[in-house]
Amino acid sequence: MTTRLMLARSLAGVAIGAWALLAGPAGAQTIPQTPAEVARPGGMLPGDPKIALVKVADGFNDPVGVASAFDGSGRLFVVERVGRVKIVDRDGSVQAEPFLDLTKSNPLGTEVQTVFVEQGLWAIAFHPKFKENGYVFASFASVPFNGANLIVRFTVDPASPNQITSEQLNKSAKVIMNIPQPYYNHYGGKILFGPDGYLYVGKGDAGWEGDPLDAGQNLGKLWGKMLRINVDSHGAYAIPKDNPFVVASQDRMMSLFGITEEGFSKIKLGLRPEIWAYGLRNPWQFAFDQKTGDLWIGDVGQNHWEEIDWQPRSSRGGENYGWKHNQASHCHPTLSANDKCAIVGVLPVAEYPHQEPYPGAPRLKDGWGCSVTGLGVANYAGMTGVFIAGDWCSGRVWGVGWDKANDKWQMQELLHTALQFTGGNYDEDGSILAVNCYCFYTDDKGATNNPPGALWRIVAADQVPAGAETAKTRSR
Amino acid sequence: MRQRARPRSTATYVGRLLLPVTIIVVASATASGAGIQFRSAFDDSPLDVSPKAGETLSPAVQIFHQTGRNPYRDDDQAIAGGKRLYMMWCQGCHNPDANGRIGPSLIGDSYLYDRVATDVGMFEIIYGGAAGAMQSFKPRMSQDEMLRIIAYVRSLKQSAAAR
Repeated sequence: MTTRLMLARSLAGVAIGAWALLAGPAGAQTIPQTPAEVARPGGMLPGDPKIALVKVADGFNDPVGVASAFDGSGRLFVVERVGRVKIVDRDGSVQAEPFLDLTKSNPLGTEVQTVFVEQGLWAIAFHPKFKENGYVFASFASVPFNGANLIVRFTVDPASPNQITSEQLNKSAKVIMNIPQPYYNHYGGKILFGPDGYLYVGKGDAGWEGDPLDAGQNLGKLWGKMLRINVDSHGAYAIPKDNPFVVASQDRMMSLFGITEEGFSKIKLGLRPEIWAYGLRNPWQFAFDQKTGDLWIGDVGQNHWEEIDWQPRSSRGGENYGWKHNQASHCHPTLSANDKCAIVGVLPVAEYPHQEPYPGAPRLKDGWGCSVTGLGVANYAGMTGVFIAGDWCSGRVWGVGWDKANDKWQMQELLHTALQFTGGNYDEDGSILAVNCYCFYTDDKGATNNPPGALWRIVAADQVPAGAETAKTRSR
Repeated sequence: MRQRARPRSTATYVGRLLLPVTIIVVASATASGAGIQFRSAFDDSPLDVSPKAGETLSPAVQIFHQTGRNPYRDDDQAIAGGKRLYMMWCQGCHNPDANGRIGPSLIGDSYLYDRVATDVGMFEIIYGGAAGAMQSFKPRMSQDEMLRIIAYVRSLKQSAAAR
């Protein structure tokens, strides 16, 4: 582990510079090189956009995700933590029968572990060629595998487009990944197809607090990572040949002499080649910019700071986002207002504090949250490439974007709602969808007994349809 | 309501004797339309504090609705019950000592919402919810239980101040 740490640190110094150069032409986004360049609340996005949340549908049990099949049907698929997916039709009506129901397909009981509020069915993702192949992927905590994170592919029968029956579910199920989980929190959960056609899997550091397994920095583990796999292969999955650690992790003939030190430093046996990026605590929700292909990750922080990471489409992966040495641009553990520590790896582009930014700090009244839920990247409503994130604890909605005129990242509080945001994704027209639940830890009565959650669409504030219900907001 | 063979303190004993008398006074006040207008901490919209289906408003809640005074404030038995409820519903976010962690402090010098300085304000948040993870606890508990929790939390602040 020490060797890997040293390797990671030595590479980090080189890498920070390299990733800064990736950004492109002058005026384009750059990765912050110092904490001072990381955006915090209080900024203003170009154009000072105004948004509203319009309710699309409600009555869901603990909704934690949403997805479109991008098949032209206009259907929206809302993921219920208990293990069901409900279809919302274009007119906003919710179909009575679930599209997918993992609670009834196993005669011995539900497939989905929901005992703890962070457990359940978290996400579905439709294959980029769903219209032809009918493949849909689900990520959930498994009962039979004692809480392990299963990613399973199911095939929709074209004769039954709105419902995968139990029979079809079991017949077509192909397990893509089965990742054990030692603790009941910090699973990650979101899965998304990237613009490159690969499946990206966000994995939390496997839980408890403080990353006791040192998972974030451990390149031999899948926890604490963003993974990238090719699901269009004969086996469960294949490793994309341009994943950052493919070559480094390959076994090879041993050569004791005749290789440079630089050459030796590129050999990293035992690394998991599925890894795209590491040093993440709990990348619960992440999103690709549909226009540029850039990747945004909302990495949930611990006691003091929430982190929003960005990488351009041109990234070759391998970024270390610093957990557990850093939490956003700060030291972990955070001890005081004046902590000193090395910045490990790549800084986030934006961060926001909890109510108490360091132990004993004056408590903030505004501009704080405690759990970032990435929703999507807005390329409408007066915004270009603005990452929208809701906060699970405070109900705030943030926008993070590049301010070309001032050559810096900006973070602006767009709304303060009363909602507990759990997830987000895109509709077919590129508008950002969000779901909320009433399922906080000590409030949890179980995945079907909490007050119902809803599905919302982010629109420009002056584009709210007449008579539409919008989320309550309070002025800042 | 649980009854004890011997009240803990004289104040509680006397308080219980006075309760029925107070209710008669309060009932006549109700008839005249007086009372507190409770408002949401999120957007100040009016809160409807009529009992939910199957709930009967306790005498303490009725007094509270009328006067804004929480009769459980110095009631040791109510405070003990409030502690049990607090530990079940609140400590996960607000910490066992109520000084906050995920959720804000309930005993500090300044509160996230200024209204928390009064029992009416604290009630408005528990009953009506605030934002994000602090949702309304109306589905979870009775208004009487909320007053007990408030009484317990206030007793923590007094203990903290006494030290």
